[in-house]
Amino acid sequence: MSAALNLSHEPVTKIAHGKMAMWAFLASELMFFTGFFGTFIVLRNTNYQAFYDASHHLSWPLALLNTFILIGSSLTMALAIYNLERKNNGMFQTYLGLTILGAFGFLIVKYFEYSAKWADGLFPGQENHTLFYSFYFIMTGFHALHVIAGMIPMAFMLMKSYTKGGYPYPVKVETLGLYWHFVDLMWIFIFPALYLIFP
Amino acid sequence: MGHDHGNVIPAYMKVFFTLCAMTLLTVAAAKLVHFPDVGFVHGYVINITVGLAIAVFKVICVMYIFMHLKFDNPFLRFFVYVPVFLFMVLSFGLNLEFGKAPSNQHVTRTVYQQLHPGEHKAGH
Repeated sequence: MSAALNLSHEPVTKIAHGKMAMWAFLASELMFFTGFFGTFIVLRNTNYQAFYDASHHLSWPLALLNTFILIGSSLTMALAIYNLERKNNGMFQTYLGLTILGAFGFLIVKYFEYSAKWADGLFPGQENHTLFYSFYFIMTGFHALHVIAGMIPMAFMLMKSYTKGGYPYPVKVETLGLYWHFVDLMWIFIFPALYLIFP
Repeated sequence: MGHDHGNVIPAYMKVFFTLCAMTLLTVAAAKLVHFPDVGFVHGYVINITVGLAIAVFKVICVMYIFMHLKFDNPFLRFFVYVPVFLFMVLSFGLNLEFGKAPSNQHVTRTVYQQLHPGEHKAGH
């Protein structure tokens, strides 16, 4: 970095603007999910039996598998950033590719989960368990949308890394990584909240 | 970006294996262990608390190591502390109402069991 005023970073804290913006965005995202969790907790405790019965139709082993997939893709994302910062373009491509593969795997498992629920008539608007499954589909659905939204820039970066000179902006990958870890964080809460805490 | 945090791969691997182990622990705590009632605190409340405590621990690991909060400018931590505080207030502060039960459709588990003594559909 030169001593001249560099507009890519906030001048006082020296944090890259993109990174700062991503943290602010994630803060607002947390507030967005807070709405779901807050209402879920209140309605769960006021409709305990209904939620208890409905949650037993969920497949926690599939969700456990998805948890491991997401944790793994978080690790590969962190390793992709590490390698790009050290200009190891080949390793960057491998790890970013693995991250995208993990995201795909997550969505495939989700597809099987959703189609099983659909076949059993467990979705909002049905006679049984409609409240719980409204939460289930909205919370996991928005989470899955976040996964898809993360895959798009990842695929773009991976494609760009095959052009001459590789992918030139490590800080952008780092910023996307923050987002990707956040998607993992939300799943860490959704997993016990929906699948586990009805012992 | 170029600021180098040194060789962080051992830390990444440690976090990864911790997360995997903690995930299994969450499942075990929820599915295998039924905590007994302690005074006025019901056992299932302890189950939930343990599950959420493990989740919080996992989240701290991810934020401090994977998301570099430990290495980056501490200013960024405000983006975490403030919304997390609001998250706690909004989700758990709303949850202090217990016990008023107009009907079976609107009861806490405790009240359900008082209304239906001997029925153990709701857990345990």
